[in-house]
Amino acid sequence: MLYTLTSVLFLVGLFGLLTQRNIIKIIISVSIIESAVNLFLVLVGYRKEGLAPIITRHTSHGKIMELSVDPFPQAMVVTSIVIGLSVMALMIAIALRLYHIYGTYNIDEIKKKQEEEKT
Amino acid sequence: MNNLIPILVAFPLAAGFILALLPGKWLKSADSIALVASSIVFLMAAALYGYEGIYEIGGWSSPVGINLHIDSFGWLMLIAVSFVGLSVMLFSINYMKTYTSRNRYYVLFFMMTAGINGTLLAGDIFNRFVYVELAAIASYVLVGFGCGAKELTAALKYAVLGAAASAVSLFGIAFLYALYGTVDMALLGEVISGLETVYPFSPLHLAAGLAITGFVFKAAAFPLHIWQPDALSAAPAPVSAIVSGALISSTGIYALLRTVNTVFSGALRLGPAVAAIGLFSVAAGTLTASGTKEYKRKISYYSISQVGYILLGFGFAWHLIYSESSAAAVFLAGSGAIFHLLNYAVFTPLIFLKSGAAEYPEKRDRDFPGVSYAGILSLAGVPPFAGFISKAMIIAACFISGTYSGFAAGVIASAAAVYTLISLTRSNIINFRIKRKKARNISGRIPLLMKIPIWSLSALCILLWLLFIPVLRERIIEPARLSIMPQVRAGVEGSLR
Repeated sequence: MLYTLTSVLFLVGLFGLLTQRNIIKIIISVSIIESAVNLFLVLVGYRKEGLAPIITRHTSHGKIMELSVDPFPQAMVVTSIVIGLSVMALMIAIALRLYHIYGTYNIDEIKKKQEEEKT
Repeated sequence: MNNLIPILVAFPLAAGFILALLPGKWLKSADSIALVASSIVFLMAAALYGYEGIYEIGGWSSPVGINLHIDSFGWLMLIAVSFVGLSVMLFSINYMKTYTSRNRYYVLFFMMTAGINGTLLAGDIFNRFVYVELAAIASYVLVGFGCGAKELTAALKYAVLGAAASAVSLFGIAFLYALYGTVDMALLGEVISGLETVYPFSPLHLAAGLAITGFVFKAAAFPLHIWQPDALSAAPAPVSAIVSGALISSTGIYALLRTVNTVFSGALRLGPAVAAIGLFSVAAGTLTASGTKEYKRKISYYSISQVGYILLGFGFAWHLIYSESSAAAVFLAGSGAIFHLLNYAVFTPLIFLKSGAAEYPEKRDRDFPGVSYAGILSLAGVPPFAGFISKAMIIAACFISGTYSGFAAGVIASAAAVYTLISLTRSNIINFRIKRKKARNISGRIPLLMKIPIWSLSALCILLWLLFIPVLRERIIEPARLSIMPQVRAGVEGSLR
C-alpha cells in the first residue's frame, strides 16, 4: 500500500515533468516528486499508534525501543526537505530571471525566441 | 592524520562562509583568501597519502553514527579533484574579473569543493547523497552565473532534471533503508552479501536501479546525459572546467563506482549493466559530437564518450573478476579505467580553461575557440599523450577477455576511438591553420596566473605516463584498483601482482 501510493504520486510528478511546457508547472512537478519521496521516507518509519521517539520522565528507554516510530527517517526527511526547498528557491529565481528576459514562462516560446535571436 | 578527514570537508565550507561575510572594503583580499584556501585544501589532500582509516563523527561508532572514510582510491580521486580545483582557482582569479561580484563565485566554489570532498569521503549512503546535493546546488548556480539567457536556460534545465534525478536516488536510498534498516554502506554491503537468494526481479534490484540512476545522471552517462552539453557550453570557462573535471568525476563516476562496489557487489552482478551504460555513452557521445559544429559543445559530447570508456573499463573488470581465465583482462580493464579517470580529470578541464583563455578580456567572443592541443590530443588518444595508453588498455582488455560480448564491446569502443581521433585532429588542424595568426595575438594578453594552470595541466597530459613506471604503479594505481574491486577470488588477484 505504502509503496503503491507513493509510487503513484511519484509517477504523477514525473508525468508532469515530462509533459508540461510551462516552467512554473514543471517546477511544481518537481516538488510533487520530492514530496512523494519525503512521504515514502516518513512512512517507512511509521508504526501504528506509535509514540513520539522522545525519552521523557514518563517513558522509559525500553518502552521507546518497543513502541515508538523510527526517528531515523524523520531526520533524513528534514534534510531532504531543506535540500528540496533550496533547489526550489533557486529554480523559481531562475524562472523569474527568464521571465524578465523573454516575458513568458512557456519553454516552447522561449526556444522560438532564442532561435529568432540567432538568425 | 585521522583528524584531517573531517577538516577536508569543514575547511572549504568555513572558507566559503568567511568569503560570504567579508565586509565591502575588504573585497579585494577575497582573491588571495580564496587562493590560499584552495592551496590548503590541496596540501591537506596530499598529506593524506597512503593513509587508510575511518573517522567517526562525534565518536559515535558505526551502526548509530556517521563515519567518513578514506582508502587508496578515495585518496587518488581526492588529490586529482583538489588539483583540478587549485588550477581552476588560479585561472579564475583573473577570469572572473570580467564578471560582477566575484566573491560570490568563490563562495559557491568552496561550497562545491566541500560537497565534492564530502562525497569522496562519506561512508554512509545518505550522507553521500547530501554532499552530492551540496555540490550540485552550487553547480546549478555556477552554470547560470553569467545570468545571460543562454546560461539561465541551461541552468534551469540542469536544476530541474538534477532535482528529479536526486529525488529518484533518494527513493532508492529510502528503499534500501526500508529493506535492510541501515544506510551505512559497509553494513549494507555485509547485509546484502549475506542474502541467500536474490530473485531476478527482487526489491533489491529496484533499489539498486533507483539509487544508481541519480549517480548516472551526475556522471552524464548515456540515457541521462542531455543536461551536460548545454550546461558545459553555456557556463563560464572555469565553471565548465571544474564541473567536467571534478564534479562529474567525483559525484558522478566515483559515487556510482563506490555504491555499486561497496553496497551491491555482494549479491548483484552489476558489472555488465555498468559496462553497457559505458558502451552506450561511448557510442552516443561520439555520434552526436560529429554532428555538432560549436567547439565547446563538441568537446562536451566527446567528454561524455570518455566517461563511457571509464565506466566500460570498470564494468568489464567487475564482470570478468568472476571468471577464472581472464586475470590479465581484469588487470588491464581495472587499471586502464582508473588511469583514464585521472586522464579525464586532467584533459577536460584543460580544454575548457584554454577555450576560456581565448575568450578572456572580451568574454562574449565565442566564435574563436582557444584550442588546447595537449588536451585534444590526449582526449583523442594520440600516442605520446597519456590518454592513449589508458584507452588502449581498456580496449585491449575487451579483446583479450575471450567472450563474444567483450569482443563486440571492443569493436565498438575501438571504432569510436579511431573516429574520435580522426575527426578531432582533422577539425582542429584545419582550425589551427585558419586561426593561427589570431591565436598569436591573443596569447600575449593572458596574464601569467592564467598561464600557469594551463601549462601545468598540459604537462600532466604527458607526465601521467610516469604513473606507469612500476614503482609508482605499485604504490598508486594498484592499491586503488584493488580497493574498488569486489573482494572475491583473492587467489586470482594475488597471482597477478
